[in-house]
Amino acid sequence: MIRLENIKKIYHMGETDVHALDGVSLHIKPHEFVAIIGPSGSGKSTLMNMIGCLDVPTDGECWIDGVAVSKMRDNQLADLRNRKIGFIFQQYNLLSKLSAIENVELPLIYRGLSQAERTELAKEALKRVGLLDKINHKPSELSGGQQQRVSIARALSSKPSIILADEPTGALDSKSGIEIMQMLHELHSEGNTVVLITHDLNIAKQAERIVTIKDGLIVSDTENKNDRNEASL
Amino acid sequence: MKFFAKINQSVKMAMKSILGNKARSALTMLGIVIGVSSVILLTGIGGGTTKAITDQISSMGTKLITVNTNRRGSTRSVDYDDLSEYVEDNPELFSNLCPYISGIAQAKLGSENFQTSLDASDEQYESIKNVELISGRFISEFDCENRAYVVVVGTYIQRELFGGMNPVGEYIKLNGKQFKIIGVYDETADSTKNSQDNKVTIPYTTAMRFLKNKKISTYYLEAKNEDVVDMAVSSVKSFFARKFGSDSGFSVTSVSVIIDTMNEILGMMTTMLAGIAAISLIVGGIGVMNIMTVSVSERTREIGIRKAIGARTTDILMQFLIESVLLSAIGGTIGILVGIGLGPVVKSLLNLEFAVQMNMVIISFAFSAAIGVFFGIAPAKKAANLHPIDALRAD
Repeated sequence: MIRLENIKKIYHMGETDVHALDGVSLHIKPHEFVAIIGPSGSGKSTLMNMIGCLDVPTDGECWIDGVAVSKMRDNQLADLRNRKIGFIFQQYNLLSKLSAIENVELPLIYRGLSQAERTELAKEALKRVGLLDKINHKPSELSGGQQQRVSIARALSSKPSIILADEPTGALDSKSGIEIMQMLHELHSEGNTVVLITHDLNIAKQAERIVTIKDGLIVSDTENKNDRNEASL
Repeated sequence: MKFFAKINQSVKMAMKSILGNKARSALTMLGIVIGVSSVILLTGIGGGTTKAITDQISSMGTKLITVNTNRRGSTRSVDYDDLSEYVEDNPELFSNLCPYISGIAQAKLGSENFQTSLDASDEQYESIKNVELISGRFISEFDCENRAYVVVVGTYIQRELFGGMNPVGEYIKLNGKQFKIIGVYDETADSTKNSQDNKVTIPYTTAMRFLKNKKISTYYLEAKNEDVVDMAVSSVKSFFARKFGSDSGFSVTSVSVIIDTMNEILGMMTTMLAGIAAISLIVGGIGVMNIMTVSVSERTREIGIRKAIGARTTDILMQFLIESVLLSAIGGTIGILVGIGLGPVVKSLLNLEFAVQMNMVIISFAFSAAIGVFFGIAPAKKAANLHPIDALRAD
């Protein structure tokens, strides 16, 4: 599903080179629920960018569904993100001038689907997150938790291989946070691959597998057998 | 199909963005509106003036060719019969011919005595010069053959000597000779003494005897149609050159030559006006570029989100390019309507002629759309080339 081989990412900041990732190898299998945890500056955001095909590595190779990414052009990366990755961001990142359903339709527009197909898929995704009654609401008319559910619906609408959630509960109150995590669990149990990026150990503990990253290197990679029990607590 | 669906979607998004910022969009369009409407207005005034002047000249007859021979020595003249024969031999170039003599005569009726301009021709003059009579008839072939003492008078004479009554059948003395009035010209000016309405026309044969002028110095020829005027002019020139044995001593002019020259001058003026107006259109275009640049910086995060979920570089480029083209095209359309709407106002306020130039409507619309592309491409490229990560990080 996702294979990273000795990934290096070096940013040139003026005179000095910053090694954001310093040789990371990681293999995520289908239907896994993986949490990537690390403090800020650890390189976890850079790692997310690699997995999410938002950026290409300086060295090493990254495969998404068997497709090598490092030599891809911008447009090929865009298509790959469109088809394979469903993003969930901390700040929801909805377009404020569009309604909920228009936001959910957005990835489908770039795939080139017709209006009829888009409406069908977007409604299906909004139904899945329980917001079918709010499809014409603007983001500003929705609560934080609801906005995050719209963004989950947007991630789901294109039926991606991987759901990539970057601090999905970071901007939410604890009750909404629990709801969102519940939803990720459900998506996982329905057979989706979920990759969760967080700095919060309590959130990370809910995943099947916890990958800890520090100073651009993976320092631990452990199975977490009790994830379901803890989540249901 | 996929491409058109995407374009359609881009247009929808662009409309949304334009309508979402109504005040700003309106101000941006204003530059284009002013530019386009002034192009429409100025070219309309230019076109209207050109048409008015051309019509005036055309009323003299676009097929008319005038030949003047300078009265210099008796050897240099062309006989009417010779020219008639030549015209008849070239029916593909000429359809008509008449001689023309002009002079001054002393008119007298009862105690009234005044000077009037006298001209003389034959029956063809009526159709060649589009003569319009309000009563009676024009000089006939019969009058010319018989050197008849008949006269067609202007409305000044009708008013002054006959108190506005129909003078046909009455007599008037010209240079002491009695002439029978056979017709009255329609009024061409204001029927006053110094206008073109103070005139008389007699048969040319009568005039040659009466004025003691044996030579016809002027001929009017009518070309078969407008397309052959130029050829007819050169044909007549060569005929006279042959007769005269030189290129000098005569002149051949045609109204269409005058119109061509006038059109050229007025066309240049109109182009100059349009050029000045186009400068404001370019200034409007810079306004569009300015707003698009601001719009791109404001929407950096939106661009990042769109790119993250799969928008290609071209999708973003098209989105912003279509937005700027729509802005300027809508501005252009409004400008065209404003220009056409203001035309009659300018016409009545400034007493200028105005005729909408359809080609300029199309050109200025296309030009404003092109301005949208030209001034939109740089901001759109800037947006399209943003890196998704950098764009997402923006506030």
